[in-house]
Amino acid sequence: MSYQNLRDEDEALFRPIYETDRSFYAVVIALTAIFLFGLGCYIHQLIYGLGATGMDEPVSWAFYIVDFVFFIGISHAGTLISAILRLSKAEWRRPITRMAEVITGIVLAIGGLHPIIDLGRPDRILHLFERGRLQSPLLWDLTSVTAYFTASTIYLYVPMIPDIALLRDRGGKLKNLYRILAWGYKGTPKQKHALERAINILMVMVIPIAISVHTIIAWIFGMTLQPGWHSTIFGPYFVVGAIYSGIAALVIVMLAFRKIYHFEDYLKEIHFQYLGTLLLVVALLWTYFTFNEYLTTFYGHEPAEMRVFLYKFTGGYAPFFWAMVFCNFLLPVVILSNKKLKKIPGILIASIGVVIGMWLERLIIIIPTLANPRLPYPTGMYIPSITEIGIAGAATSAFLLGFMGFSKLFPLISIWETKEGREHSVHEVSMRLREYLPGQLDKSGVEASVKAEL
Amino acid sequence: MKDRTVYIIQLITLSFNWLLAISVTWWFVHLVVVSNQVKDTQTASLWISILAITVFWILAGVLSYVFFSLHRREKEPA
Repeated sequence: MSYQNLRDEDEALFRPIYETDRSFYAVVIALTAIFLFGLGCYIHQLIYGLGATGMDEPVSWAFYIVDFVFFIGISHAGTLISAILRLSKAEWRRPITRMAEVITGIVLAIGGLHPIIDLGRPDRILHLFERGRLQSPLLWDLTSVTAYFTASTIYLYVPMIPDIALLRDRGGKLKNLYRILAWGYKGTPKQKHALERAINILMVMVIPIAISVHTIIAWIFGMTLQPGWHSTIFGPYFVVGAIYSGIAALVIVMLAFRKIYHFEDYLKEIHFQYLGTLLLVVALLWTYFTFNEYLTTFYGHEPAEMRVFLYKFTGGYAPFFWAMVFCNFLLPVVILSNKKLKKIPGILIASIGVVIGMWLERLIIIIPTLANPRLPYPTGMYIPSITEIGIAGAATSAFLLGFMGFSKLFPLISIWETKEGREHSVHEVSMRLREYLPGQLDKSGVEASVKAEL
Repeated sequence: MKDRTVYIIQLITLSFNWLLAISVTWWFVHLVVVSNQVKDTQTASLWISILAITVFWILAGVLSYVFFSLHRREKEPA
């Protein structure tokens, strides 16, 4: 592959960096306004304490922890999905991986701040550094989220180096920034080999780290004896939920930026069809886990567990519970299992439904258990305050602003991977296919026959 | 910007990763010492520390490997 040729082809992928229209600024202004409102809400909370929120006894974890679990779940979109697709040599991954990895980096930074917001007094986080107990899942969580953030940032950065080198060579206002970030990359065979090696190590490392992050978050709940939380399947259940919401968020982001930057030639319907199939498989897996979780609770009929169960099914949180069932099961399964509906609009509707449904699922897991504790307290009720809603709005707008900011600095679709796919994939996949088939030659024989045909 | 300046800035950014790995190591050692002082269970602390420290050191190592591999001058063909 000629390194210099990369500049001329795929010009459309550079365009978002150099061309900005008015609507972009309008969206940035609107999102900044929402963000500033949320920041104001947080300052209000800092002054008046957690009394400014809707939290009270017995519901002492609410919106912030729901958003924390939700955002960390979304982060599985990126690194995990990208690493699995890379590892399995799925060729259709090429235009997807970068966006997925960016989602991870941004939402992890935002989600990771939520427990500090939930503390009310952020200075108390210092106690964790000074006198934290390593036996506590809360400390495992801090460690795994930090490790995941570090790993996914490196995993985003390393495959981006060849594209940064292209930006450096094009010059412009930010040339010096790109010079610093390109690390002297010139596309020599040795440099390519070093990058490939590092990417291989990182993708193998990132998968267990990502799984451990959401498993540990599940343990924060599962290791207590609270009804509705004390469950052995919470770890895998949370991981499946995280991958589920991650894929849905990835589809929404890909469709939005496909429309805004006219990436129709790169993000084709087939990519969304494949992601739709993946979403359907995970939807069924999530349903299976949910069914397991609630059936065992109902069958055991333990009084404290049943109070939480009935609170979800017929009590104060029933509308949210059934909305979750609709968004996470009925809607995606009906759309994605029907060939006629499994087109881009249908996949978008299913994905939006899943993102809403997964947020509701986090709400359903956290609030009803706290509202109906094992100890004989009266049932509580939680209604979020404007402060919490404002901060949730700020977190969402920070995510969108972060993504838009990234699109103005770096290509959202990996240029070198696209080029590599175009030049080598057909040959490579053809080779691989022939090796799988019975009665075929060995690797060298297959290579010789493919070369002869070409 | 001079090449030398660019290289120094790159080295500083790389060193942040090592700083993180060293800080995490120092923090975990501190927590193990504290748990020892208060006669808390040691097994879990040690295993978690070993695991976490290894992850951060490998990540810093991989990044350094990329950095120095990209900066290594290739021999000119004779």
